[in-house]
Amino acid sequence: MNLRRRLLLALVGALLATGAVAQGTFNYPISADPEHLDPWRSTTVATRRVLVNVYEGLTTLDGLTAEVVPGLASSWDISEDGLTYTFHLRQGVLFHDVPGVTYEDREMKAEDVEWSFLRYLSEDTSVSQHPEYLIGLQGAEEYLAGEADGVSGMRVVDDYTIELTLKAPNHRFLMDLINAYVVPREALEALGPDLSNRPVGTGPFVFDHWNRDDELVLRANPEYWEEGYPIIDGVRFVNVPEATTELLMYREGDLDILLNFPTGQLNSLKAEFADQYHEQPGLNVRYWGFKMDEPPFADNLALRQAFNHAIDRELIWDVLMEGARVPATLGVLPPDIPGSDVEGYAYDPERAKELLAEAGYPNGEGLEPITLYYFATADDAPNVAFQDMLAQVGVQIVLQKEDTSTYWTHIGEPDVKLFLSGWSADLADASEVLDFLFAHGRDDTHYDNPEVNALLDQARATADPDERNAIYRQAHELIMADAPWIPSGYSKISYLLRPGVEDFQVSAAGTYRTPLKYVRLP
Amino acid sequence: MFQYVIRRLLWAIPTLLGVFTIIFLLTYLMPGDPVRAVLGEQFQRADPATIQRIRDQLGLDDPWHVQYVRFLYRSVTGDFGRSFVLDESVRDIVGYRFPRTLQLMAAALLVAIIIGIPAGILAARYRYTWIDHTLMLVALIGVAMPVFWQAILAKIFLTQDTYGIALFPVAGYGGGNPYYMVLPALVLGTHLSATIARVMRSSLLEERAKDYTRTARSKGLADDKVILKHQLRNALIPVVTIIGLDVGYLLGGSVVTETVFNWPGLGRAVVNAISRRDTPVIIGTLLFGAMLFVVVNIIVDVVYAMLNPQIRYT
Amino acid sequence: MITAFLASRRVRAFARHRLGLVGLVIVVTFTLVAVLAPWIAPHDPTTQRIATARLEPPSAQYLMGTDELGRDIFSRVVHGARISMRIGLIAEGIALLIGIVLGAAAGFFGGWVDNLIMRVADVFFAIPGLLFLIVIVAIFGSGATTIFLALGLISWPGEARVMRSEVLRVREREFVTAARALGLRDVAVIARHVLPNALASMIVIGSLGVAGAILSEATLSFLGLGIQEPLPSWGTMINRGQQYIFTAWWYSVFPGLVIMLVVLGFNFLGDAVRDALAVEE
Repeated sequence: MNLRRRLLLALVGALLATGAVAQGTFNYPISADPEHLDPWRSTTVATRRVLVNVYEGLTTLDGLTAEVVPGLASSWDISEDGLTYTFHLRQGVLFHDVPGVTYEDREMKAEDVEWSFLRYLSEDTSVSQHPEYLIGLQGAEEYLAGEADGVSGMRVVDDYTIELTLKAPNHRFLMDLINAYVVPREALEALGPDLSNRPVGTGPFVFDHWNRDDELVLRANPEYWEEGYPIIDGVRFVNVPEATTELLMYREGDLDILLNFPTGQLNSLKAEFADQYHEQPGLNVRYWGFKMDEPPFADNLALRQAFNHAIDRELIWDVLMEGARVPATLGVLPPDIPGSDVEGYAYDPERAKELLAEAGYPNGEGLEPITLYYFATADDAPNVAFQDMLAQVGVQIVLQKEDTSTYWTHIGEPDVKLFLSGWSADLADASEVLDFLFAHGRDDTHYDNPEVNALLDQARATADPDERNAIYRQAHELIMADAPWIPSGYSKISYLLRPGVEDFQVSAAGTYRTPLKYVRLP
Repeated sequence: MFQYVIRRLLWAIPTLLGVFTIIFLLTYLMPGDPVRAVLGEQFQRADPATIQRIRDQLGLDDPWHVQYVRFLYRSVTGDFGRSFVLDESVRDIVGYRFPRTLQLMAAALLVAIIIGIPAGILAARYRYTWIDHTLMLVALIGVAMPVFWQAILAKIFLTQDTYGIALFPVAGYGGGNPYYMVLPALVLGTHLSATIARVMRSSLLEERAKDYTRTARSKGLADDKVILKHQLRNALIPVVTIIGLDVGYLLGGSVVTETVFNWPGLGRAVVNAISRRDTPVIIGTLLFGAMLFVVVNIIVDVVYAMLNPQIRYT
Repeated sequence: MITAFLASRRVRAFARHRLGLVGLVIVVTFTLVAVLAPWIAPHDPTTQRIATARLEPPSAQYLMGTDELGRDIFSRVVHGARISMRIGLIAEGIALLIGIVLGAAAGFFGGWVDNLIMRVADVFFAIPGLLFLIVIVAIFGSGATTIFLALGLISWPGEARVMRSEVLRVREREFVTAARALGLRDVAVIARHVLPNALASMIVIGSLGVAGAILSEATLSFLGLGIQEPLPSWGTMINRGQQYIFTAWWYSVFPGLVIMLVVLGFNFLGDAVRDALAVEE
């Protein structure tokens, strides 16, 4: 804030500015408010971004490497058969001391873990929307269906030990536990449904207040178990729906970080804020998907390959979009995921024309114009360029942008043959993409290859990471040979960080997973 | 007068029922799925059983007439239910955001009146001179610029030293500090102030052409005094009407203004609700807006009557 | 006949109104631009030059510069006139049609007809237009047709109100009473005696309505729900261009100025007609 504004502020200041920033608070822009702050129902990035600072699970993500590391459990043992996990809890972890909540025992113990986990296994979606985190436990399905009083695969050994037993080995189990938060029972009893607006956990920050669509403030937890952390006094999430506004606010020092770049200012901002610009690869992939069971793309590999060769991904992302993403010159997996190193479809319009002829449409003749559907919040430019590039080889594309909600329900329907979509992996693991988008026709492309399905099932049951990733790579190659997508771009995590701010740890998982407890302000 | 107000309020019932029905049918017809919004990016991760349970619990698969009656019953009893997506009741959503939108609207109206009425008077007083032309041209430019474009220019030139001068905060509610309200109110009010100025001017000119003005002038009253003493009151009548009708515009305009200025108001909440297919919020907020519109217009008509004693309501 | 028209007081009053003339010129010019767009535009409005001419500043070759896809902004602005004028004129045409018919009916027949029509008008008044538009676009997609139909459908109540009050004003005049006494059917009376008198007011409100419709399309584009690419729309150009405001000012400034100019033109025109009417009164 500059001097002139300060003078004016003083002049106008009949009402005091509560917006004035206390020293040591990290001002963090969010483009939309979280829908709520309920640990059992949190599903969106917007809710996670806040909750990862208030709640903790038995495991957590390393801020820099995105690997699974101890959270509330300081260590665990896994049985030979890969079924039984014995977690040893950290001692002396205290639940947040907040007004209105009285504890019998403020220390987090195995019973609290059990109680929180049982609540995840609720059939009532207004209670839990994530039974899948723990549904793999023995007896979990029976409990969910109300046929059992407890979960046989969950056993409190003593105050600081809990034993979880799976029905089948699952290498993803420790990842799922990251999001299965431990919540104090007393808080739910005292606050009731209000707990979903005023979270109470064990995390490094304590919830302070939330003015919707305005600001959400957390303050440092003075009793946090990790000695010396958090460093900052608090976090203020500021609701900034629009990218240009975010930039202006960052320039004026109202924000400590900028996450949302206005399209088309990346190059100039990189130059203007050379010392403040950071970027690293992310785990999101954007693609144009074919409907695999509808004409003209069904059973026409050459046509799908022709489309793939017609698109100049480098021109789109490096030039047109000023480097907003990495051109997807490999396959369907972002490069940070093991198994991503397969050969992609290179830009080759001549080859595209040959394939088009092979597909039965020489120079595009006989091919009806195809509508490309995309959603209102996506950038137009790459899609307009896409249309032009296909026109160069003789294919007519009609662009149809739809309201985002309309779009998501529409693309599953048979009249949509070609659509823009995207997917974010939470972790750098191939299952995060392949299991959701290429298994058993589950995705909107309806891609269903029995060979791939079998490989994915095999990989899931494989404990050895190298062996597993080799299987994933094999599946990946099969998928690419079938060309169900035109991979477009892999995300970059780019942001501007105020000079002197240190230890804003970003992993490929994205900034919403950044543990803000390590952040240090100048 | 009292009877008149009661009668108008009764007439508002079929109007509101019509509004409700149209909004309900539109939201029912809207493709898209609130469950998708509930689950967000995790939609594909959720298992189909969970998705179906959410649908059942929200009553999304009920036939339309069941849903119509359910929402109608809730609206009549004043309990608009809970948002499908946010963990808030519709009442809380309106209760928290409406006062903030109202602040903004009131400030915009104030801006519009402070600028619009004197400008209109000056233009009429100096009719066909450069003052008139300049004022009307400026007013028209105010009308002719899209609100979001005004907002962007205002932010570039009035909040940054890089391109203009940093007079105002870029955006935000600022905990209710009126200083944060200046720019959004200016942007939202410009359009209305231009309209007011133009209506003020033309209605004053009409008054000046009337007999009583000539009589007053022939008695030797100075021009300015005639304006102030006799014409202004009558000329204000159409201005008041315009203000009443523009409440709808302000509600709509607040959508854009609130978005570009991070204002935690109702307009943004409605747009978000529409894009999330959050039916209870869409119905609740739009119905609330309609009620507001009706009430403001009744007030306007009462003010109208006070300004113009010739009108009698029976 | 033409000389008599030109000599009439209204026309002379209009001609004296210099801004009105300016408005007329603007409106006529843009109508011509819209009609003749393919012959005026120096380039194809959709030809892309990403690698060679991305975000070029204005030059002799590209009068208003190029956009991020290397498309000529001047050609897009010219072709955009077709879309914006079409949306503006058709939307307002629909609104006028509904407004005139319903307004005339309400004013002429009075009683329950009046009451019913005005209550329906109230319903449409009470729903904020922009929000209604967003919902309609979500249902039917954002084509030009959807947009002008929806705009027409929500803006008629204003037109109907003005029409109604015009009809009420002339209804009791001698010539109308006389016509009815002579046994002319109601429709004939409305068409022959009431409409011509109300026409001028309709021009006023219509010209403002066209301007309003053009602005509404721009606002819709701001919310990402405007005309589909690669069709050139002024609203979309301003909105996309504002992202480039610090690096390529021409991208949004020219379409912004053009929208302002057209909206001004229609407003000048409406004002001039209104002033010319005031002379008569």
